[in-house]
Amino acid sequence: MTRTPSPTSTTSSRSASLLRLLLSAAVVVAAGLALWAFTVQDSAAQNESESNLGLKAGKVDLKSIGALEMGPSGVLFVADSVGSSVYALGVGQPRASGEAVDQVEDLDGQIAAMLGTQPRNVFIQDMAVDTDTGTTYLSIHRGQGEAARPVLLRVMRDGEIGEVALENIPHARVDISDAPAKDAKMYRWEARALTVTDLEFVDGELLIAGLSNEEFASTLRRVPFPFEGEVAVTGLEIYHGAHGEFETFAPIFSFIPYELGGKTHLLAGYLCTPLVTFPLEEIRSKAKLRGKTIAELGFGNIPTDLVAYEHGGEGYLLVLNSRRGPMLIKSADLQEAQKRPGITTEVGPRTGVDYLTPALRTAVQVADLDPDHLMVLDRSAENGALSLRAHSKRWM
Amino acid sequence: MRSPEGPGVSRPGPLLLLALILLASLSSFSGCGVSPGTGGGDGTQPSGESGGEIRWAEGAAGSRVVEVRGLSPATLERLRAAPPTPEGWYRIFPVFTGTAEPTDGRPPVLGTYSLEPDGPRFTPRLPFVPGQPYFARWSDPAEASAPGDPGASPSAPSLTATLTLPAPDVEPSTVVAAIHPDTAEIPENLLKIYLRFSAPMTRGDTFRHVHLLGASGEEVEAPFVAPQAELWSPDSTRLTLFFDPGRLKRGVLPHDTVGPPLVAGHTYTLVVDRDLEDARGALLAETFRHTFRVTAADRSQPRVEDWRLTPPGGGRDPVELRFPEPLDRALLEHMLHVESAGGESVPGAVEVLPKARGWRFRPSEPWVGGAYAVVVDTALEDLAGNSLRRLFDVETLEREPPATERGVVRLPFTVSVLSAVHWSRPRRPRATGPCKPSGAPGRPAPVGALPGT
Repeated sequence: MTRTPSPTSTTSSRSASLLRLLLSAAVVVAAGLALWAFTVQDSAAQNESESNLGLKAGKVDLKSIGALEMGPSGVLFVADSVGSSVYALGVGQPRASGEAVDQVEDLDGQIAAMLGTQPRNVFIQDMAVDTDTGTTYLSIHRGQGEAARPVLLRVMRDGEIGEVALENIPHARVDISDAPAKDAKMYRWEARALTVTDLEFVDGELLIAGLSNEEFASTLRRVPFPFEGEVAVTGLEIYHGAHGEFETFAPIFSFIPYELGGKTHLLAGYLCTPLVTFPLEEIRSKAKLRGKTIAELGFGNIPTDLVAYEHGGEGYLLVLNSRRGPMLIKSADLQEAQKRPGITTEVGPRTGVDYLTPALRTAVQVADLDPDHLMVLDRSAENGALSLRAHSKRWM
Repeated sequence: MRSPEGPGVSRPGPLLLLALILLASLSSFSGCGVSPGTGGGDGTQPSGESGGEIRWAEGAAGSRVVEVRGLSPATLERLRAAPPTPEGWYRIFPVFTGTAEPTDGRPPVLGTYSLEPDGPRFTPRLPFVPGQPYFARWSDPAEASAPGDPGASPSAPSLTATLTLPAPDVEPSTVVAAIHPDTAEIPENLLKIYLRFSAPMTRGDTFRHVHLLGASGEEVEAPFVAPQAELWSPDSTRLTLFFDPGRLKRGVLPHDTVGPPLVAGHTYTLVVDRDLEDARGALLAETFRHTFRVTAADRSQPRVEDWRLTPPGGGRDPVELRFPEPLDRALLEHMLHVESAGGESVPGAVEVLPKARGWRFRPSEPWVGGAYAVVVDTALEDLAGNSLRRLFDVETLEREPPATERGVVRLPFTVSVLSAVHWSRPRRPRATGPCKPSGAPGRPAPVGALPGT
């Protein structure tokens, strides 16, 4: 496996580009007009699709980088909590030039080397996988706090690690600042921040879950993509009765669209780990909504990621947790739980649905990769190093 | 040979193919351009580079770059005639993290290369880290066109250097400047604490350095929600600590099994270790300790009827609100504003009074006589997270859920025309007594405009 980083841009002189242009013309002629025509058509199609998606080429100046979500046709959504923005980046769908590898070892070591630092200063924030190409995107901070430098890297299916350069990239931006409308002038909002905990792209709409540093409450922001309309806010003031007889107003930590009873729902994970469902159509039609708690997975825990996948004709939901091990729930069990009345009494930590404990004990991030594999970012129990590997769904 | 990715967006397959062919042709071209005999394949320094060196230089905007200087005119000419591809540059002039060329296959530092009039220059994608050594190698440009076996060992390097930027000597000076609530007594169901630092801090490792201690010094176990992304203000000077609400809410399992983090009648100390790093990498100047006593849980909503409003006498006198209990400090800073009779927002400055038991607003311009209102967002909370529109925890089975419409309450006051005119002789304002809100609470807020609930 080659460890050479993908060069991201070059400052070679103008004469070099000229030379290359001439060369390319020669090569193209030699290679045949067919390839040329195909390439031009293809690139034109891409340009057209980018402009259809409202993306314009230019520099993206991230203040931070966090949650990632794949959008339509080579678009990657990227949350910048410090910059109070979500970007749609036209990252394209490049394919690996080499053979697919099962495992990229020493991932944090390699990334640290490329970023000129030690692995302990590499903070991987989120991971997204383009299932068409198997390319894995990683949002990374080098360093912390004011010194933190956001970087977007991609790991090709052949193990090659490169940067997605943001100097000149087709993009669109949406503002998710927690500030009120411009006409309602309030004072001193600068300390306010919304940390985006999850992004999901569902039926042409980007859903944004966040955690405010001032209010412990739950909102879901929704914005159609291409970014044209306003950001709408649905107050998911969850009266999930799971906590004894009392309402709670907890924020969503992670969520995922999920088909339940033939309808698209949002399946949301909360602090203390109730699993709550909301019909998507109601989220769109109502300003506030009561969720239905279909499962309790245990207190003192944050569900950090929900991953849905299929294997062998069966659907599964994988729940990654902050303080508990990963949990694997069969889709059939979720369907059954959804049919039952919601949990409204105080219950134990394993109620509503049963779960398996998958062989992913050290997984940090997981995403669906292909019909047979999940892409897993794993921290070795032996030496603490990170690796990225294609994990067979048969081994769950 | 691998194809480089294009800057910005990578193109789909056909373009990659094209680039591949391109690169191959480029390589062969530059290979032709290198005059035989100057290559460094003999295991010694190639001729003409003995006076060369790799060194730090200043790049754009004062950033540090690495340059090769003292190359022979012939080498420079060759580079100009056939500039290396990006891949080629990484091969002939790599800069590695560490003190030697890695043997474990770790890649060189990401960056861009350019050929300046005096020699090649490497500009890293992210600034070099002070105190971190880097190992740079310059090999003969013939390497750039070497056949594409990435595993092939380079011919003997012409030049190498280990470069380290001096780590800045930073004196600890940052302190915890304020804590909110700063009252000596705090309700058992306190929802959040704000820590204000005197300078920007480092994120990511904070909770290891923040402790809640009981009276005898024992540590309260995991009292705070510790999400991966710590809840800092954008400028990294204010940290929000949310108590685990699972332990605050009645009926929630941890509350009943572990108990609330704070127990009425007991005394606690919040400690921020000196080891916490600020954004410069310096530790705090001192350990921060704040001791408070815990009182009974606050399970009542704040009511504007219990507030006292003191209207301004005129001029630029402030309008002032006093509350019978402390309210949430951060929310007080921006959840109230002043409007004129016409609904225009009045520009000015907000001051939160000591112990967060009052709020004061001073307009930027003198008051114009007439009717005004302090407009309060009903999401304003007390220390226990009870807001003007709902309690933090409510017994749902006993009654209908409370109104949750986000809205505002308007507290009217007037500034007399006379006092507004004679603002140079301020009169002692008269307190008007308990507030009476005007209008029904719940004027609908524009969807998507108000902060989340």
